[in-house]
Amino acid sequence: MGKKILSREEILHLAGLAKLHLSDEEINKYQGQLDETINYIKNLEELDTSKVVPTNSVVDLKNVTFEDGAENKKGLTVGESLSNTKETEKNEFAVKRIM
Amino acid sequence: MNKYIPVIGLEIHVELKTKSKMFCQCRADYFAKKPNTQTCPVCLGLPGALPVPNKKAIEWVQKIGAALDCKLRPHSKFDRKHYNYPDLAKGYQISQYDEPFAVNGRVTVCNPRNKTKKSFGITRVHMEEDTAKLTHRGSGTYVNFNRSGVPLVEIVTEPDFHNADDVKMFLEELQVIIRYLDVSDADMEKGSMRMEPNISLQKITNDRSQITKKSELPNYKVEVKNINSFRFVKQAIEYEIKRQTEILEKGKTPVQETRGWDDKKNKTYSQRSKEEAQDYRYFPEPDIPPFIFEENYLDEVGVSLPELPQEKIDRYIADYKVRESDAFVLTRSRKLAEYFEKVVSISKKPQQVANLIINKKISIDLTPEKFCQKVEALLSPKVTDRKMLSETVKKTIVDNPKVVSDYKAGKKNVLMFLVGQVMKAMKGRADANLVRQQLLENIL
Ligand SMILES: [Zn+2]
Repeated sequence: MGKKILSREEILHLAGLAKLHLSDEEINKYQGQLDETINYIKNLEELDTSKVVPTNSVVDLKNVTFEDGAENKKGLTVGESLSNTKETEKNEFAVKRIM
Repeated sequence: MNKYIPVIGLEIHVELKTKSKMFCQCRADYFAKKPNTQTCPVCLGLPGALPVPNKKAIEWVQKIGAALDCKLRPHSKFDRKHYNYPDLAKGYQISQYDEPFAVNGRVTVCNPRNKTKKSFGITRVHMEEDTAKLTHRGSGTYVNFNRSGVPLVEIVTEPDFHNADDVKMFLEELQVIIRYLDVSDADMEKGSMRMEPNISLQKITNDRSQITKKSELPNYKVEVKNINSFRFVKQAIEYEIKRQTEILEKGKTPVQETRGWDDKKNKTYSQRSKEEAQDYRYFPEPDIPPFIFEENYLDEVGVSLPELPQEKIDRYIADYKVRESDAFVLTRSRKLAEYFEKVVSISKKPQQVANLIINKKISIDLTPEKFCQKVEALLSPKVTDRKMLSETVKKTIVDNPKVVSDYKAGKKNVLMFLVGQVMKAMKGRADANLVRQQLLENIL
């Protein structure tokens, strides 16, 4: 294996942003996998992209909007809204206290 | 002399009062509604749900941009801003990164007390979605998604402020402008206007005390959140200036972080270290196609703006010859300003009408026509019934022997009491100077 692109600290920082707790074994595994991903994307460096406009959207559409006050056809009842969660209290989603 | 100059920038969030949310058709007026009754797959962040932007919300953010003298971008798009927190079910907020709807504005604020004008730069005005509302109780945090996806406008200023008073003055003006546009209640108690000042201190290296270049800005920034009144903004900034001065005096650098404002202890407290922009991993929102605006359309946004408070002040001074401080008071609400203008268009006595409105001598609940009639009655010279006056004066003197003797003993100010008594008995139908004169003649 060659030199790692991402350091152990960078892996831990990224895991922290994703709220993942990694074991030492997993850190090594992710380090390998993410390096592989970055190397794959690095293939682009072989091409001259200096004249290519960045692609922000792959669809050929613009200015797609809806009119304010339009009928809500997808609204959910409280019951439906909470139906996928384990913990609720007084019609609210409950999670472990964060503050 | 101060060794440090405060360098303050502001982020202001304003919730728009559209009927629908920003990216779905759920109702946006979440205030005092039962939890989780105004949700759908989009604002709950369910997999596969597709956001579609609210047309009016975009028109309104452009209106705000134009009112703040910004350039409206012909090309704009939405981006995803990633972070993990229970108020954000998708794991990202739909916001704008490098192509906000409006950029490079300026707001000029006049201070009627010292008649100075100051101008502050607006960096950008962008559109995003509000998050769910969290409540913390016991060992739990409870999430209500009614607020999730409500249109939220973020206004970012340049770090052009150097003291808390200017910040307060600017925020008050901004609130007035937003309300003129009729796009938000901008009510801080209800949370439809929120502000986050970022504060740092710049050391004065020599007597050139000007800070203009960005490269000379301090290498840290403290952001204060959870402030819900103009008074608290001022207090929080003053507290931070003191706290940071103490740290700098010890030769240390304040930590770059987000702090909260505790309005009971009148202190800021550490909340979390601030993420760097790169940690948000912004990228273009793939579910929403970009926006391209014609020049005509963007020009029309500027043209369609109502006359703004600062423009009204200038016009009242120039055309109506109204005192600047009065013009300021009259323009704090669009409704009051328009009422004043209607009355003036009938009565043609601008300064007198201004006085009567500001001193609340005549109720502004009256129709402008009724108001004018009262103006005429008040301002026209009094026709006094001489016979009635003479009788009333004599009776008042007889009825108030103590006051009269006090006056004779040298208590000159009791005369006003007697004038008042006469006026009351005459139901106001007498000329005050004449009453005074008659009283004096009769007492002596
Ligand atoms: Zn919804």
